[in-house]
Amino acid sequence: MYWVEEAAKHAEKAEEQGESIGHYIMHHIQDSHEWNLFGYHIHLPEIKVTVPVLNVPLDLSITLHTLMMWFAALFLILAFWLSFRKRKLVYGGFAGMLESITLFVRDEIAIPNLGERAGKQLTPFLATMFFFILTANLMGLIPLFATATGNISVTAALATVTFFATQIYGMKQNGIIGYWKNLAPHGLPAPLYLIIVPIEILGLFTKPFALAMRLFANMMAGHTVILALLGLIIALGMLAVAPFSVGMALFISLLEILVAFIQAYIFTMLSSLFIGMAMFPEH
Amino acid sequence: MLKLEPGMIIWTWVTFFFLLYVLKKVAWKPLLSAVEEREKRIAESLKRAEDAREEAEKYLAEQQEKLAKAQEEVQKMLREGKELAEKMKEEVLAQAREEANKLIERARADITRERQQALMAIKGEIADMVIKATSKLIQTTLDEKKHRELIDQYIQSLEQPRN
Repeated sequence: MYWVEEAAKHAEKAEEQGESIGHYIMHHIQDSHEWNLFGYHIHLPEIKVTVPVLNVPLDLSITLHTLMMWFAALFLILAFWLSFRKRKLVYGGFAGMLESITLFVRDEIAIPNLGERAGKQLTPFLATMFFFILTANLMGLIPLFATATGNISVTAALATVTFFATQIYGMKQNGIIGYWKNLAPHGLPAPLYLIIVPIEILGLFTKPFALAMRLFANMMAGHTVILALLGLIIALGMLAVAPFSVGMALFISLLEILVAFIQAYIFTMLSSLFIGMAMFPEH
Repeated sequence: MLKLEPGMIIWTWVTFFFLLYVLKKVAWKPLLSAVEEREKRIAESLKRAEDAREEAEKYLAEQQEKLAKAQEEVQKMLREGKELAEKMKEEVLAQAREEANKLIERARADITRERQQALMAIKGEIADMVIKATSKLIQTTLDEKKHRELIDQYIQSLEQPRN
């Protein structure tokens, strides 16, 4: 009898706590105007401006995710600057690692999709994309830091960069008219174009949309799972769950390191693929 | 959560393009140029090594050919030397034989002459002795000149069948 009562009490408590934990998780993952450092809440500046001509209010506040992006950028600049300050023929250690990742981007991502010339030309763009996303992804795994790439606005902004790069390089390579003509495959019966052309135009936008959603969902999901697993201890109010929760959270965290690399790779890979498809359409 | 914040998007663009700009200067230019230089150097070194190998092979072939030629030369020289020695030997032998023959010939001639002289001397001696003996024996005085003629005739007749 005692156990039943006890279990019922736990369940009631769990339901009650679960709701607040859900809120906590959502709050933790979302962007905010303050940075919680060991309980000290650092308030970040809120900047609200009005766009001059359109007269639309614009929130340019330095949010937590903006700050995280800046940290990522700062880290990358420092890392690369310190590594490649002195000119050498062969770089070792950390610089060698950065170099081999960059060469991976150049030889395995850029050149296979874009060809030798355009691939080398776009390597700086793609490598910046890769390192920026990777750093932002990995930073989210460090306690006290947040995941900027778990914010749909950030991933959407990065996907738009790819989108514009696709259009610009496509038009540069094939000419403005040539590019739009190449969107739909040639030599199809005329009525089919009524269907194909809208699909292709829609495809222009679904590609970056998928890019943004994929990165955002992947980064957010991992953190949600980790927090939910840890929240289980509090929700159930049982310390016995802790080993399981912590173990699973650790496992997911390790998985997240892998996911951080994979997502950075996929984002860069697909970006170069889209740009390559726009530059060299199939005949 | 799925709401797009224009401010956030703008900050992302600003951050990304700033990062792209700075990294282009700080990272990609030194890194990629170093890599390209290294790739060029490796390609050059490989080409140089290949060239050196080819040259060495050519040199080796040349040397081998030279060596073969030298060996052939030596063989020829040996052969020629042997031939020459053979010829010289023949010549020397022939000469020696000739010389020997000449010597023998001369010796034979000498011997014949000596014998002739000896015979002459003996003949004179015998004639004298015969004269003395016969004059003593027959006690007749003959004209010595006539006597000698007679004996010489006799000796001549004696000599005839012997020759």
